[in-house]
Amino acid sequence: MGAAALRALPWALLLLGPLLPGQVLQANPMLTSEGQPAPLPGGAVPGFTPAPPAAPEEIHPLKEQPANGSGEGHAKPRKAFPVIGIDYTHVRIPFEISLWILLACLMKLGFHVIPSVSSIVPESCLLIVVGLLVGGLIKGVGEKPPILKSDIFFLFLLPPIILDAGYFLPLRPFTENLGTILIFAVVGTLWNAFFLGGLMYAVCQLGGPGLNHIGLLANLLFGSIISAVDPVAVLAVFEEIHINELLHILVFGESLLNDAVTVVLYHLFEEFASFEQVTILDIILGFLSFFVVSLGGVLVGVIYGVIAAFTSRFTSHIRVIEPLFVFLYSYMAYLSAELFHLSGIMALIAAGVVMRPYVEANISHKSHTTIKYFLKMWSSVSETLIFIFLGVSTVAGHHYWNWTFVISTLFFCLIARVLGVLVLTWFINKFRIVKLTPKDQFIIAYGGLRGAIAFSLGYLLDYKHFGMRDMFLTAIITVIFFTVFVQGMTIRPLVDLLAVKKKQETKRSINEEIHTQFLDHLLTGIEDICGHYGHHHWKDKLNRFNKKYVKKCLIAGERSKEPQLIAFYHKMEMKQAIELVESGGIGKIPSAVSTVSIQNINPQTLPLERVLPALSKDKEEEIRKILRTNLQKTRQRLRSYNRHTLVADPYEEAWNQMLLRRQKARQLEQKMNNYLTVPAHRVDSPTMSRARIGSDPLAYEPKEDSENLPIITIDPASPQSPESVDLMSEEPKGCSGLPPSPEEDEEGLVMRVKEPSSPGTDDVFTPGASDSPSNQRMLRCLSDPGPRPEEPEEGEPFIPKGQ
Amino acid sequence: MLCHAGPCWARECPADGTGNKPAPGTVRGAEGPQGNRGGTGAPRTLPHCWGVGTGKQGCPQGPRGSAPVTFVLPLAVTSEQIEHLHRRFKQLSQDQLTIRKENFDSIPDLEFNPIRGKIVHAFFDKRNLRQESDGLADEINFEDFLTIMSYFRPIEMNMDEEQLERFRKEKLKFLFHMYDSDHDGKITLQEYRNVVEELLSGNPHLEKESARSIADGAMMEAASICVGQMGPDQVYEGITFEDFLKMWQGIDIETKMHVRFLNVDTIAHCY
Repeated sequence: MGAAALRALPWALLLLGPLLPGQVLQANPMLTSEGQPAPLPGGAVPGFTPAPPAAPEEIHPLKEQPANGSGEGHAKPRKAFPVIGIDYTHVRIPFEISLWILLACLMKLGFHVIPSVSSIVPESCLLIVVGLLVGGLIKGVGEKPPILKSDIFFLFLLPPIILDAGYFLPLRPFTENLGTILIFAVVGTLWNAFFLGGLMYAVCQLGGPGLNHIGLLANLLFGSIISAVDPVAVLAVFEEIHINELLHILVFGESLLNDAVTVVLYHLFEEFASFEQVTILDIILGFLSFFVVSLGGVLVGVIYGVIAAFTSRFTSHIRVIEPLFVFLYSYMAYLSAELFHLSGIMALIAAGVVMRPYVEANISHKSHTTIKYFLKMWSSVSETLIFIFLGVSTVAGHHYWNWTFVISTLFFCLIARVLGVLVLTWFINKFRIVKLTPKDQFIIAYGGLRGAIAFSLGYLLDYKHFGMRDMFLTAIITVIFFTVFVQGMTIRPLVDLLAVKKKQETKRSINEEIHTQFLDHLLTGIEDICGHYGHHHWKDKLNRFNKKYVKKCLIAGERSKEPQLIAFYHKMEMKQAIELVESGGIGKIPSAVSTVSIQNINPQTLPLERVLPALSKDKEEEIRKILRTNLQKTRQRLRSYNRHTLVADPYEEAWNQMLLRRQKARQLEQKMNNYLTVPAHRVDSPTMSRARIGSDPLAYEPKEDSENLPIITIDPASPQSPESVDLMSEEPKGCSGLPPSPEEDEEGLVMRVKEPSSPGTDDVFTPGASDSPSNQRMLRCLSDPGPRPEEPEEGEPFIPKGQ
Repeated sequence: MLCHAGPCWARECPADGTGNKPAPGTVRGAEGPQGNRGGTGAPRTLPHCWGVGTGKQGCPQGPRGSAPVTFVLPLAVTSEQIEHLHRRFKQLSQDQLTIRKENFDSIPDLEFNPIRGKIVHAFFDKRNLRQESDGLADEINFEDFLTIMSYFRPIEMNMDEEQLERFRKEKLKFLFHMYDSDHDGKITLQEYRNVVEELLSGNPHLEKESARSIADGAMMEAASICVGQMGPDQVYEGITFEDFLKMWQGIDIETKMHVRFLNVDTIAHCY
């Protein structure tokens, strides 16, 4: 928001006293001092607690003052040294911006505190109402309320929302329905624009003296502005009604992709309006420019997306700025596209879609979370601001209300939408396999909400060519309000009433992933057998190309070769491990978790169970001591803090370690089976042994120690494995005699889990294992008895790599 | 084409025309082309017959128009599509009456398909062809080929709930048979592992280990979805078809498992 836009904010805040009780005190002194810095006696400010942006100055007046006022202080006749001063102009712009954002956020917060309101009325409506109120109050005290400036809207408020939408675009339904979406977005929008424009021209011709002067071009321009479905409004409403995936992506996809059409039509008619005569050539060029704008936008986006992916390949050393690359490249894509009057929205979406798979493979888990949160945060703040400003601008703008024009606009808007959807679906259904039912058609037609993009485009119109701008804006706002309020509020009951299929809230499971992939390959295979090169065939080709060439260039290291299924599996495992840790770690597994474990499904392939000869008491003590000291070391090392790198991500590293470890443990397991010949006198439960093997190379340690190493819970082969529970219950004899070591007690929760599987553990065990003779002995007695022709190999798992 | 088409269908026609093979016939018949036989729900034992029909006027002629061959179409497949499929069939079989496994080797694109073996296998799986028999067929004729293809037909607009459910089950059954390679009605852990291994077989530098752990994890998940709490000594032997249905609940199989080619229904169906 520019300075002008926010000039009157303090007034608003003053009047909003009841709404924002904490702010009134601050706004008051600001107002009195606006413009001229008036030194206040120090005693007058005890209750003065400025908002964050202004805080540094007020709190440290002594530090600030010399730098600030030195120039004038010397020129004027000597006054008492100002202990504290107020210079509001100095901070005004950021201060007011912050206040607006704060207002927006508090409003949003307020709606969610009162759940009964937000369940009936969509948030967007409430925000507009708040905007109207704020605008009215500002006007009421005689100030000029700010207007949603088009530049600010298009350059700052819109991109986060679109990037959020593009980056998290559900790609699969989107591509599967791309044809339908494109037809709605392109043909539908064109139809709406021309139908509406033409009819409005007719209305203007018939409508009497006030409207006669509005020409065809102006009407067509008006039609093209108002015909585009708005992504912000659609998102705001559709996210709340949880409609099924197909309908959501159809309406939302349309709202995203119609941007190119809107941009082209807008520029076209705006240009034409200043021409004397429009020739056929102009029209052909306009038609061409549509392809340039849309495809050019996509191209720009793809280029930036690829660069972003490529950059993220090298960021492993500076994880902290990783997320920034995603934002910056996307924003650059948007700006570059806007630079050439290409479709910025298309560019942003293309960039988001292209970069996401590669970036996600490259960046750390934390960075991924950061990206997710930042995008969501920015987009929701933008959305809130947009709606509030829509309300404020309504109050602020000049209006010219013409009943004929406004009512017929609204009427024809609805008619055009319904007709367009009906005709287009009739056509589309001929090609669609999953037909759109009449219910679907109704929701698509009804979901065609208009929003702030239309308003901003209308606001951009030049008074010189479009003297009727105010009337246009009034009509646009009316349509926006009608769609957002009436349609937005009734769509939810209607969805319930019509029993439209809702979104199924299913957690993505590994089985589902396997089945989906299986199905994909199956369909590709069937298409190949039919000799029909369809959707699946080309998708498969693209995938293979991607795997073969693109991934190698854009993804660093091993992960480029990782098939999707494995990547997915790893993600799932990690999530579960983290959840497990967060839910309380060992011993506190939620009881809801089922007790299914590997032994239930795989009873026959269990490793042969052997029990090791028990260690003597003092040996145990020895091992304990080694473990304890080394664990402490690890902890210290991990705590060291570096400003430029985040503290090592325990989960991630632990994760990598665990994978390596598991492989080694498996090898060991096999060898052990060969070597160990001691007959089992107490057969262990299979779960136990597996858990131990899976988790730690020290698997063949005496039980007491495995008891001390709680990582067992993260055995990745069993996602919901409650092995630790089994472990506890099955093993009372082994450990009951030993009191828990003090070490264990003082360790934090995270450390508990991290320690055994973090890289530090290797450092921990190896020096002990390889250095001290007693450990050598221990090793031997672990793998003994039996002939040992391959002793070095045997010991290998205990001496991890990189030492 | 007629030269061998005639005998082929003539042979099949009496055999399964009158409910000898009720299951596939009824199921598909009831959901026949646009349900326009008045078949609303009630399973009708339509003759599963590709034979020489009663050449109604206006109906598309048989392939190459050489004979008044009209197809009774229990599938939502038009004669045009059948013609195409038949051409393809002949191409694959090298103008023989039947296709053998080796014939599928000649499809170059299939070579890269990781689950190629399973797909080819499914064509010869008698469970998919004739419901009551089991085992593997050595060769399949065009009708069998079409039968397999019919599993991949798309959903239709005017199906009611019951039909939809049957339609869904039919497709899932086909998938289930692909997973269940030893025909015992259960997907055991070993079978599941094989599936995952095959899925991942496109990646040369991948150990079997990860495939195994994925399959184990998936199986465990399946067990916990389908059975819930299990004691340590209980054994989950494998995924039964009922469990399989449960696991697929989240995926709209009826809208996903189809091949676009089978949906060019522009020409009126003949019957």
